Amino acid sequence: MESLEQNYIDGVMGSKELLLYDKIGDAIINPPNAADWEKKALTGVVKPDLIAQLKVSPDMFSDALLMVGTSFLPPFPPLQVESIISQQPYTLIDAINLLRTSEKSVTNTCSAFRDILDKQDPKWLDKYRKAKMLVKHCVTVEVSGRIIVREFESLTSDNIEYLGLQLPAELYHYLSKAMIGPRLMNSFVSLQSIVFPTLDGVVSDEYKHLVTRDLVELKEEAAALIASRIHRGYQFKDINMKFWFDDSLNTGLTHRNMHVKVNQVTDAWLVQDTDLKAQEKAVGAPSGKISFAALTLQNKDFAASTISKEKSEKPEKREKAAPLNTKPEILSNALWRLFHLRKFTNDQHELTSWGKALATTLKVIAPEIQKHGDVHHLEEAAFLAFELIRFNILNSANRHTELIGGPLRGSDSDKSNCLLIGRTSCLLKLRHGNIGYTGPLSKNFLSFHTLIKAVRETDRDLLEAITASMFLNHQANRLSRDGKVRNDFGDLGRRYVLSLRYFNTFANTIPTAFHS
Amino acid sequence: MKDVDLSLGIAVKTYLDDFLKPEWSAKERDQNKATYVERYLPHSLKFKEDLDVAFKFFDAVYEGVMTLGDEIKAEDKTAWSEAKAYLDTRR
Repeated sequence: MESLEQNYIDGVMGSKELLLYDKIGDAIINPPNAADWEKKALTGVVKPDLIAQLKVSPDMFSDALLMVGTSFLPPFPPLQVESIISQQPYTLIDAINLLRTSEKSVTNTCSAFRDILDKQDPKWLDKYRKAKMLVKHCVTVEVSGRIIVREFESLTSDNIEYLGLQLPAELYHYLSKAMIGPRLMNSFVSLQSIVFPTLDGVVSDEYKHLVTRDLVELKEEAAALIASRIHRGYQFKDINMKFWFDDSLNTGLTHRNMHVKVNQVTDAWLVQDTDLKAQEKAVGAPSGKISFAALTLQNKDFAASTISKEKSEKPEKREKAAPLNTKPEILSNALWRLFHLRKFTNDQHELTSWGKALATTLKVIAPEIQKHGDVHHLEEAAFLAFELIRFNILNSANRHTELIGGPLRGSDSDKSNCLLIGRTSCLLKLRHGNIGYTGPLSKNFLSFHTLIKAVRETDRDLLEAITASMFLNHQANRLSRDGKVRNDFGDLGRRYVLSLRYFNTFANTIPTAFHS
Repeated sequence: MKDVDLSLGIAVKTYLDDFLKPEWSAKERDQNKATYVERYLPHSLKFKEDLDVAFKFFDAVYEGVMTLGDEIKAEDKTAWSEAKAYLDTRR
């Protein structure tokens, strides 16, 4: 602002690192200390005077300023070593003297003190170089509000390394409308995907296997769907996984090789409303529901017709598909894309064995869905049941007799039968007065609930990634028919399955009950 | 509101493990459900119906599992069949 012709401000107050930026005019005002208040006076630094006094070039001046440390670069470690700089704390002059002894080059100074750097901060030189580039290409805002990168013409292609990246505003909009939750975006912003402590705190072998092995691929697919639609820099960034139960585990979400595959799978589903309506009667379930998605694909002709014409094997038949508009279109295609990624359907869009098993279950339970609607969330439960069976979770193994609240009566096989039936029922909902849960407790089942929750959250993230990528890629229309930005993003987020709310008063009371 | 909780899972387990006696007649089973609610889940709203849905859901998943071939382990499939037989004597 100081460099602008129009006088918006009279001076800049702040730390000395501001002198690094040539756009900051000649002087900075030091923030007042207690003595300044007493004296009713301010002090400041005039950059050309300081440079003249120190008898250095402007380049060397800024190198020394970086070496003493800034908000984005730690100080050069040897400066803090008393055998090198006897008078601590070190000053800017000490940094200049170190530079002078090594031909005024920071690189040479680093090699001169390699032994200290190796011990304390082996990557300091790299950090310094990034800081230097950050200053050179600092991001500023113009009066018009335009955000510019300084010396844009000479910006290097690896600028993500020092400037960092912001996710597109579009994703923040979907987050603000609750069409997507924060987990996916967090993992891109921080490049970390954190598995948080569970309610039961039990780290069983099957839990470990699930979160450190089996679910990783699903998370990678979700990351790949988003990464391939945003800045290229993200496509080559792996995301580190952190686990609450073991700091030393080092698993990464390596999504860079999956971009083509996940998009090939998802892009092939762009079924339009007219085709959906025709199917609703045939299967007796409304479009956008899991039953609809599974039962319609039992019809092989319909399954074949769902392959997007853009993806036709014969080039002469390929044509650009119109973007999806209505909620049923978006919900149905999102579910089919999820089915496909989760291998409930194959590349011909026919049901796989898992898909057929799910369809069978949904067909058998259909009368109950008709009768009770969604109160027990039966459809979602059926989907999760087969996800859990596939991950070797929903069975009668791993009985954990050490955790109280498992079946105790009858023969051994009675117990294991009872356990499997109970576990399956964990996927459904008990209708209970809105006063907090009052029934029996079970740590054994709470521990099983953790496994369900891990799978459910991961599937939900994948579904969110599918939906967000649909919009980011303009396969779904961001505008409603009147040309305005559609206002049903939040409704979409709530309507698609595996919705965000899985905590409840009951689950929260259990650990208290067991730990007290 | 949609959420996964485990209360129905525990209720079903407790009902089968702690409460039901296989020797009860169909009529007794039906009548005793009210006692179960009183004793274990006084604030549940429609337990009898929920229990029925849970059993039918188990049947439905069982039917689905039976269509699977070597996608699942043989012993897991057996576990589902045995649990189904166990449940059929306890409705």
